[in-house]
Parts: sequence; C-alpha cells; structure tokens
Amino acid sequence: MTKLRITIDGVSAVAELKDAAAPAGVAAVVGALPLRTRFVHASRSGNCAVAHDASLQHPSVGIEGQVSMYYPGMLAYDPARGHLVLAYGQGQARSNTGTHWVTYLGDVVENLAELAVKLQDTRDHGALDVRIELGE
Amino acid sequence: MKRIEVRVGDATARYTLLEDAPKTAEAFWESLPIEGVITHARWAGSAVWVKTPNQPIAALDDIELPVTSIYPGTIVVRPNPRGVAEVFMSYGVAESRGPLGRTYATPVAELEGDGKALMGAFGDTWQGGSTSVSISRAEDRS
Repeated sequence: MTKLRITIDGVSAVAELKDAAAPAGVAAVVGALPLRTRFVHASRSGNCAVAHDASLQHPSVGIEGQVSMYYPGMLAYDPARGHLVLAYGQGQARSNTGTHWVTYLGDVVENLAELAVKLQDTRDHGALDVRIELGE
Repeated sequence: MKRIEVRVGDATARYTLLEDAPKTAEAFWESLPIEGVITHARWAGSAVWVKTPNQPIAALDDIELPVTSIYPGTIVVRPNPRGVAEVFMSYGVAESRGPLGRTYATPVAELEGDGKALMGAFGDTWQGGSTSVSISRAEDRS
C-alpha cells in the first residue's frame, strides 16, 4: 500500500492511498513527489486545506472513486485543477461555478489530530508550507 | 444618505447604507463602530467576515430581507445563536452558506466606487490569514 508522509510546520502525519480504487490518481501524485508546496485554506469547500501545484495537474487523468463530500482525514485529488485536498472536518469539492467531483485518494491514518490543528491554522494564520513525500 | 467607512490597514473604502431592510440597517448603524478581526470565508467564497457583540445588531434574531447571493462590494448581516452578529463583506463571487447548505443574510450596505485597495486587502486574508478591521460611520460628503 502506498503511503505518504505529510509534514506541515513541524507536524508529520501519514496517509494511506487507495492503490486499487484510484491507481491513476495515486500514480500522478506519487510522480510529483517529493513535493514542497503550500497549503491554503479552502474558501468555498469548508473544513479543508488545498495544495495547488502545477506538478499535480494532469488533465488526462480521470476522476476515480468519485466523491464530492470531504470527511475528516480524507485526502482528495482533482487532477484537472492540480488540487490536493486534506480535510480536517466536513467539506465539499466546490468552486465559484458549483460543486465538483474529485478522486478519493486516501486517508490520514497516523497523527490526524495534530495535523488537523495545522490545517485549521491556515484559516486564521494564513497559508503554510507543506512537504509531501513517500512514506515508509 | 448614511455612509460607512471600512478600514483594513491602510486600505479604506466607503459604503452606502442600504434602505431595503430598514430595521437591520438602523441596528447596524447604531452598532458602529465595529472593531474586530476579519477571517476569510471557508464556505461562502470570496468574502471575509467578522463577529461582533455590539448592540443592537447582535440582538437581532431575524433575517429581515433574506438573500443568499452576496454580490461584490456588499455587506450582509446574519444573526448567530451565540449572541453575536456575523458581518460578511464580499469582494467577489460569494454566497451565504454553511456546512449544511445555503443560508440567508440581510444586506445592509453597498460599496461606493471600486474599492480596489480594500477589496485587495480582503482577498489577502485568504493566503495571509486574519487581520484587524474597523467599520465606522463616515462623514457625509454628499
């Protein structure tokens, strides 16, 4: 099972990816690693932060494991927009044109509570640097 | 015509107090100045919001003129069950919305001019985080 290590402002967490349900999405994200980018709080999608990086943008990769709603600890991927979303609460894939479908890419399985605090901090304190790399 | 001024750092803009919802507009006016911290919306889109305990606006518990779209440069107010008023200020496409779907708010003021500097300051909170805001009565120069 593919794992990601996600480190924000000194807090590190591990996510397990859905290799079987979202193989193309997992390959696209793993291909962009290691990734240093920024997590910005969502402005329309609720309780989540979003990394928007050109290396994550793969318009030819379709949506797999199609979902719209986000739940705490969920990792979602929008290959057309190059968005990687980490939810710390309930949310929904949404832009100024309405709701969207995204790939259900995985779940945070270690240290979600501490990571959630950092994700929530991006709302009040602004965007934070994030490092995403392959986990053990 | 009553006007208000909104200030974030060095950026200011003037708004006209709307008369479409007179009870809410009057309560908003009587509650000024409002000093607080604006935070970027997480559901509503291109808007910032500030909570205020100021009276009498914080005591209002109804939505006099329910709207869901918050057009650019509009200020809307919605009651909060914790005894504060939520003041939303839009700088782009925005909608009164929460985790369970759309919500409603009452419009109380509309931007005069393009307010470019203030709109920019509102937008900066998305990546830069919360910041102080001042909403006060403006001298009527009309």
